[in-house]
Amino acid sequence: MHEICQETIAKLSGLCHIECTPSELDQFFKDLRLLISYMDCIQSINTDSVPPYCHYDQTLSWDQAQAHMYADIPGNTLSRQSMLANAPQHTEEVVVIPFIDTTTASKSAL
Amino acid sequence: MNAALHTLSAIELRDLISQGSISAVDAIQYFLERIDRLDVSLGAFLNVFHTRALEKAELIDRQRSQGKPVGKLAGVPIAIKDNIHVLGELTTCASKFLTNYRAPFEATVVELLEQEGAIIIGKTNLDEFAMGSSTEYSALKSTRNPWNLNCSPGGSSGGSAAAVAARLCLGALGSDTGGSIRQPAAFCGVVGFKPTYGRVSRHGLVSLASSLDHIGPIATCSRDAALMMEILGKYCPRDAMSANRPPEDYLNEMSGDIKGLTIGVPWRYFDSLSPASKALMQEAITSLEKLGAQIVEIDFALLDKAVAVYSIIGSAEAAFNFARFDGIKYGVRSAKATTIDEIYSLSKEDGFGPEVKRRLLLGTYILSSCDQNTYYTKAQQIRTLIAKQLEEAFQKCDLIATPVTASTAFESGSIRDPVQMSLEDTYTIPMNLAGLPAISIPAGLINGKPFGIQLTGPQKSDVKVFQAAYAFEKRRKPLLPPQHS
Repeated sequence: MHEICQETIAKLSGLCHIECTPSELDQFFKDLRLLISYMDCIQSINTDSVPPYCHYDQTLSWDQAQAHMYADIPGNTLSRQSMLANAPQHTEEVVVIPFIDTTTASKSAL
Repeated sequence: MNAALHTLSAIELRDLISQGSISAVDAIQYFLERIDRLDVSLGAFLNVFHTRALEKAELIDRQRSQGKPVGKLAGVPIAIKDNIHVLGELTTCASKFLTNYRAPFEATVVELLEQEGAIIIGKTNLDEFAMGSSTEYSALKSTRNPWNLNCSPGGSSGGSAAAVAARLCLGALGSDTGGSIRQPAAFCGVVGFKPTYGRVSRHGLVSLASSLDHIGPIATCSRDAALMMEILGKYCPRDAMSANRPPEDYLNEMSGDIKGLTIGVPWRYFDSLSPASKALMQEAITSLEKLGAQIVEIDFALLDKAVAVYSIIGSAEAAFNFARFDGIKYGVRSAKATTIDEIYSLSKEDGFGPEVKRRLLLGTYILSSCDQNTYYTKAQQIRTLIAKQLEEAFQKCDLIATPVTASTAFESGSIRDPVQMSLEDTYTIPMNLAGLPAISIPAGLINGKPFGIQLTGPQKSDVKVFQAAYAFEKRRKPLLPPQHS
């Protein structure tokens, strides 16, 4: 239904923060065109007034279902040390990231 | 006795260890030696826990000698797919991005298995982040099918299925988002089970597509898989979708009697099967009929839309889930990155393989397309229709029988088209979309390669699925690849 072009792929790669080489962009363009054209087979199905699927247990009443849901419960979490152990760069206290120059960031956003 | 330990079932080995006929240390040493000798050609394992496994085995022997209970899986070697956490060990997801990531907590399923005396013997290979149906997309190594080393073991739990098929361990855990337990189980001639959605906790599983992800057992026979389910099928408050229901008694319900059971078969949707696959499927149905089941034909008109629906929902959920792999809190950070933006984009560029990138681009497209309703909402609506169609089928029958795949294991590298690869999962995907329990059991060999049938039940009928699987399997010998027998 939607036509995609190589510019779309370049834009998508920016949106999901994946740097791609020109040859990768070319390959993904071919693959995605194929996949999206295949996925368009769903457009022939009439879905008027069909609700989107959810894993809500249909055998439960609404009240029962609500009772099954609960707010997040603060509990024991990982220690700072075990969290930091997997960070590519860190001090004893925090994860280290490069300095963010907000001027440059706002310029590039423009 | 030790010479044939790999031909035993997990239950038989457990009994020998519990009775003291063999020590857990001897048993584990036997399987570790087997892995060291045979996995060179198979490539099923990414990491083998020699020291850890022997230490745990010593503990079992000590407990037994002190007269303490040793558990339902005492001394049984179990492998874990490498997208499930084992505390302190690497969880690579077969990705370069996570080659240095050590699990900071234990997955609930691993905790439950170890509480029952299972020995975690190692972590197995998979398609990178479980994205694939052949284990060829692993960024770390390739895994071969024990029945034919030129063929794929299936995927994404190909390492787990190959390890069990070659009897390098007597059980394994896999994850199943669109067929990733059942398809490799079928290709490798072992039993693979995907439970009802919510029956087994995913706490500690690296999420791929959360509304489709399941964890389940792979074993040499249905009774072993059922025993694993007895252990794994428990409520877990750390998985928001975990079902708060009491555990089920699988083994006691498996009498082998299926008289009076009605099995539905959607015959008209088996066109893509080769004549040999069709013949085996027919033979399997006849065999179920002879066991006392009544066979009825059912309709499943939306079957051919399931793969498209899955591709849309699966890649959209993956794109959402994978935003966390940014090279900040964990993962391999690109050495070339000097700014925060470069950390994100170059770390993913270096760390992710082509299949992961392709799916994330597709998911991002679906979620960001000018009209999200065109794909995502529409797919979720058709998912409702697919679940409804299956529900209607279950008005006529207790279980549905289909093949697991249209054919047997394909030659490694022979499928390059991404759509063709997705179509490998045509018969397994609907069960993930509707959250139904489904089992893959070997039905025979075609040209020396295993072919599996799938039995599916309505939600929460996991025990019934096992009852039928056991009856079907009872009169057949377990398949053992000749070069690993």
